[in-house]
Amino acid sequence: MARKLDTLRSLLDWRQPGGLVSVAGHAAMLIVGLAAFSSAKPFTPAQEGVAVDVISEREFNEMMKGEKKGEKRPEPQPRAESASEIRRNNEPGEAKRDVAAEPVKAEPPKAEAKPEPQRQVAALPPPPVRPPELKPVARPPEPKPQPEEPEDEKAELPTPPKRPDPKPEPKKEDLAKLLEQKQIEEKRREEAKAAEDQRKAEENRKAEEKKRADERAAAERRTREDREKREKEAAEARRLEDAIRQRLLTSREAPSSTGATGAQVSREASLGTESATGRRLSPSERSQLIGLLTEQMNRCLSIPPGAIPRSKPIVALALGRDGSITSGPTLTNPMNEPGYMPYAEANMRALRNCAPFKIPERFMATYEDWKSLLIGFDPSEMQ
Amino acid sequence: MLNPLRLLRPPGFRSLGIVSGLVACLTMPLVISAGAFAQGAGCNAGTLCIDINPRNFKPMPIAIVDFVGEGLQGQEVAGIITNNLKRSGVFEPLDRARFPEQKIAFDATPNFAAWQGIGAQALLNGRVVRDGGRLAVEYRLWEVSTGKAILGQRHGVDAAAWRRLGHLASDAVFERITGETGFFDTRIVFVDETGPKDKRRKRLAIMDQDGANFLALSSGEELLVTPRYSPRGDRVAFMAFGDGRPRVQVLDLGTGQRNVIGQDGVMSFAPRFAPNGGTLAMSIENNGQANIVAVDLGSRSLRPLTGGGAIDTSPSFSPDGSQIVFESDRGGGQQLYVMDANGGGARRISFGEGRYSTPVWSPKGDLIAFTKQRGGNFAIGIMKPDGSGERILTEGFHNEGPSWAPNGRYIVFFRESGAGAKLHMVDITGRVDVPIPTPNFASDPTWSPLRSAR
Repeated sequence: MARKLDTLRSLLDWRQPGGLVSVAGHAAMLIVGLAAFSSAKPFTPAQEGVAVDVISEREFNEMMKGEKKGEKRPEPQPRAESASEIRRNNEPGEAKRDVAAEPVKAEPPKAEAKPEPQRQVAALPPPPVRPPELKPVARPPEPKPQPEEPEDEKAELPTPPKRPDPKPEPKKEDLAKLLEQKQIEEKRREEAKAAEDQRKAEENRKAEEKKRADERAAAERRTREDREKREKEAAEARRLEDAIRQRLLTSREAPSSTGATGAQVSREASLGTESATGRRLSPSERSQLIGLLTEQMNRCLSIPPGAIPRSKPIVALALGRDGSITSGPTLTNPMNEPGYMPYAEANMRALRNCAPFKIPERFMATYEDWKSLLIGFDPSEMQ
Repeated sequence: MLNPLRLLRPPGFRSLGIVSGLVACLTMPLVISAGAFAQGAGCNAGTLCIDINPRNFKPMPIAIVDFVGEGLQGQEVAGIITNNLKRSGVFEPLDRARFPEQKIAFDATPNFAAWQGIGAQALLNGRVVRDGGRLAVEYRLWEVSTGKAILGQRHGVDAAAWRRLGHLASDAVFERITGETGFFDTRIVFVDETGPKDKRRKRLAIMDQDGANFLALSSGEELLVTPRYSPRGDRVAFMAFGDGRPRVQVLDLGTGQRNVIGQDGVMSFAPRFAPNGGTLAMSIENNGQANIVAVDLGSRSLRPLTGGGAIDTSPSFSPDGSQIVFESDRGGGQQLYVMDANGGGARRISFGEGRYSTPVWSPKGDLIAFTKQRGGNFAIGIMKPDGSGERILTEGFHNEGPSWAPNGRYIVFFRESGAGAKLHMVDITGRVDVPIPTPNFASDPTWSPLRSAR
C-alpha cells in the first residue's frame, strides 16, 4: 500500500516531471479532440414563412358574408367544397358477407335543359345593289396636259352596306318575254282542244280531292294514336316518380352527410342577405390575381407604334367567369396628344385578341370583386 | 370635498374622443382612395386596377387580301402594300397561304371570325378601278376583333404611275395605325456606283423608296456626289467635280436644267436647302479653312454665316428655318454646333467621345441625326437639338450619310461592307434595320418629301 502511494507521489513529484507532463499532455489532447469533433454544426431547422394578411374586422366580416347578387336557385343545393364519390347502399340480407359497395363516379351535373327560344329568322333588309356614291374630297380628276405631275385625289369611303343578298332577282325583261311566249302558246292550245282539257281537268281535280281526303283521315288517325301513346308514357313516368319519392320518404336511412362534399365544387358564393356585400378578395389574393393578369396581358401588349405619349391611357373592361371579355375595353380618358390614341387603340385591340384570360378556380367565389377592371397602359418607362 | 378635476375631466375626454373620431371618419376615406390608384379614373371597391408597363414592341398582325379588279394590278398593288408595311417594322403581314378567304369582293363584309382565327388584328381589302386614263384604288381597313371599318379611302393617279396607288394606300394605313404620317409615297436620289472598285462609275440616280422605277440622272462622266433634296422635292443640290474644283450645282428634276451656284475658282460643297426652298446653305473653302454661307437662289448673293480659321461644314436647317446645325473643328475635334440662321449664337451640342459629322435636322424638328466616328467604327445616331438623349442606332465598319424620311421616324444611310456600299434604313428606335434594294452599289442617299404633299 505504502509502495503504491510512493509511486503515485513520485509521479506527481516536480523533481521527476514525466508524470506531470504526461497528465498535462493527455488533458490537452482530450480538450483539443472535443473541440475538433464538435465543430460540425447541426442544421438549424428552417423557419417556414406563413403568409399572413392583416385585415380589419370589417374586412373579415365582408369576406365571410354572403353575396348580395348571388344567383338564387329554385331548390336549395348542398354547398360543396370538395368533390366526393357517391356511394351506393347494397341491399342488406342477400349477401353472405359484407361487401364494400362499389364506388360510383359522380356524374357530371347535366346542364339544365332550357326551353329553346323560338328563333325567328329575321329577313335581311334588301341591300342596296350599288354602294353609296363615293364622293371625292379633293379636286375631281381633270385631264392635265402635264403627264409628269399626276394629280392626287383622295376620298373618304363610306362604310359598306351589310353583306349583300346573294340571291339575284330575275330580270324584268326576261320575265316579260317569258310571259308573252306563254300567252301565245296557251291561246293556241285553247283553240285546239279547250273542251277536252276542261274535262280532263275536272276528272283530275276530283281524283285529287279524293286522295287528299284519304290522306287527311290517315294523318288524323296517326296523331290521335301518337297522343294516346304519349299520355300513356307520361302516366307511367309519373307513377314511377311517385314510387321513388314514396320510397325515399319512408327510407329509414339516416342522413349521412360527410361534410360539405358534392358532385362538384360550388362555383357560387353562398347567398347573403339583401344588405350584405359579397365575399371580397383578401389583399394577398388581390395581388396574386393582379400578378396573374399582368403577366398574361404583358404578353400581348406593346409599346407605342409611333410617338410615345406622356399620359397613361386607362381602359375599362368587364370579365366573365371564364376570363373572356364581356364588355369593353373602352377608353376612359381620351386625349388629344400625339401618339396617345394610336397607343391606346393598339393595346385595346391587343387585349381583345388576348382574351380569354386564364383565371384559377379559387377566384370564382370572389368574382363580383374582380369582374370589372381598370387597366392603365403606363408609358412612363419608355421615355 | 369635490375634486374640480374630476368634474372637468370626463366631459373633456369625451369631446376629445368625439373630435378625433370625426376627424378619422372624414379623413380615412380620403387616405384610402388616394392610395388606391394614382389616376383620376377612380379605383372603387369591386374594381380591379392594374397598371401595365409594356416593355416589348409587337408588330401588328395584318392581313392584306389581294385587291380585285383590273387583272393582275390588284394583286400587285396588294403586294406593294405588303412589302411596304413589312419593311416599316410596325406591321407583320400574315402569310397568304393561311388566309381563310383568298379574295373579298369590295362591298362584301369579311368573315371576321375566320380572320380572328388566324390571328389577324387588321384586314385590308380593296379594288383597283379604271377611270379613263387614270387608275384609282379604293380600300377599307377593318378592325377584325370588332368588325369595324376604321379606314376607307380612294386615291386616283395617272395610269402610268400606278405603283403609287400602293404607296398612297400604305401611307394611309401607316398613319391610321401609328398616328404618324407615312413615308412610302417618296423617292430617293442617290449616287449609283458601278464598275470595279478602283474605277467606279458614279452616277446620280433616282428611284422609289422601295427600289422600283430606277432611273439614272447623269451619265457618269463627271463625278457628282452628296445630293440633297429641296423641301418641295422639285430640285436636287449636289457637289460636282467639274474640272478639279468641286462646285455646288442645282438640278431641276422637272426640266433637267442645271445651275452652278458656287463662284468660279472657289471650292464650294455641302449644300443644303433652307425650308423655304429659296435659300441654300453651303461651305466655301478659303486657304484651308471652310466657312458656311447662305446663298439666295434668286439673286445669287452670298451671305457669310461663320468666320474664323476653322473648318465649318455640313449645315442643316431646323424645320422652322430659325436655326442651323453644323459640324466644326473650332474646339479641336470635329463636333456639332447649333447657331441662329443669321449666323449668331453658335453653341456646341455634342460632347461624347469621338468625332461627329454630317448632322441633319429631322423634318419634325425633335431630333438631329449624325454620323459618329469612334475607335475605327462609324455609327449613325440621333440626339435632341440641345444635345441631350444621344442614342446610337447602328454601328459598324462604315455607316455614313444619314437622311431623314419625311415623317422624321426613319433614316436612310449607306453602309459599306467589303465589296461596296448599299443603302439601309433604320427607325429612330433602332428596332428596324432593313436594306433598301438598289440595282448596283449605292451611296449618299437623300430622301424626298411626300409626293402627295407637294
